[in-house]
Amino acid sequence: MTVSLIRTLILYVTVIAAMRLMGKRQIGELEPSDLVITILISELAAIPMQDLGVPLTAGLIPILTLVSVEIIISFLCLKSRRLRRMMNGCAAIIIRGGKLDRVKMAQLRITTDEVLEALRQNNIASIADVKYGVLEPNGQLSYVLRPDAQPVTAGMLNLSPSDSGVPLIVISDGKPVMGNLNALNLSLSDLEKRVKKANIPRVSDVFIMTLDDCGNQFVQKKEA
Amino acid sequence: MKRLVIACILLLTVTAACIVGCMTVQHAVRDTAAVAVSAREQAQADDLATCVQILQSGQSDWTRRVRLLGAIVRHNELNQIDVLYRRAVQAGQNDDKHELLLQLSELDGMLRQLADMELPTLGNVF
Repeated sequence: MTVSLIRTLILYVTVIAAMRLMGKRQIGELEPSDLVITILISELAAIPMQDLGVPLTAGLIPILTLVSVEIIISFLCLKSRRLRRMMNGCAAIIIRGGKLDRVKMAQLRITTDEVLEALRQNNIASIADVKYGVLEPNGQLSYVLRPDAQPVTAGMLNLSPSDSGVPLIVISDGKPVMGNLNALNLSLSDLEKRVKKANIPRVSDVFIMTLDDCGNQFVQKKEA
Repeated sequence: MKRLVIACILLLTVTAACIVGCMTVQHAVRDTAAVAVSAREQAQADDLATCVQILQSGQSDWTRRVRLLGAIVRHNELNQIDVLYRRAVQAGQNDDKHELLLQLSELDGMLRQLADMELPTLGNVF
């Protein structure tokens, strides 16, 4: 049992390291090759975990090989459009000018139910509102709405809303995050002034504080 | 770019590890097979005592190698070879020449299979 425990820990660390090495694209929307690799890695890790008669290297070597090949292939795909199309496929337009493209849908074996489901998930009530609907290689449906069906923006109403940036966590569970403070060109004393201005006595009393480069902040005090 | 370099190094390391692993198995099998051949010659010459000594020495050498081989080959394959060694030694100690030769030939077969399994031949790949 101890052997099983140790193997599980080793394989867990290996799989996590492998996923990190392959990068954020593995965790987000999966292209076909990414999906294959992710499933394969999880299956390969399970084999030596369950069968103690199989050497640990029988799981580690295939995992490391897959990770290396995946990174090399994805780098080559960056450089070669043809390879990219071959590995990941290409997007297909299935809605044009508010109408479904039957021929394309038949080629892709997509049903009308699936299209409507995807539109509903994007809060689109009618196919007629969609100017272009594109089925991406990862199976997601992206769309461009007709101008009269698009949500209103501040620009359309000639409004100028206040600017906002990417909020960075500057205090987390009472501790200042120095990296983010430096990114915002703020010092610890600046942070303490802001916290006092929010009627909180100390930095250590703050549960979370976010700040962006436009000065917008969010502060939440720790519950007593 | 850093990831690409790491990936290339990883792939080369894994390839090198596989080659080294294959060579380790081949060497272990070759040395063990030599012990089995030597033991068979002694057995056929009716010198079972020397045969048992050779087998016992070979078995302790095999036990030492198993520590590394266990990371490369399935454990039950290695266990089977160990069992065959023990059976051959016991047969020798029992002065049962027929049984001893039988176990030695089975040991030889197992070793061949072990060596063949690790080679990247068309039969193994497909």
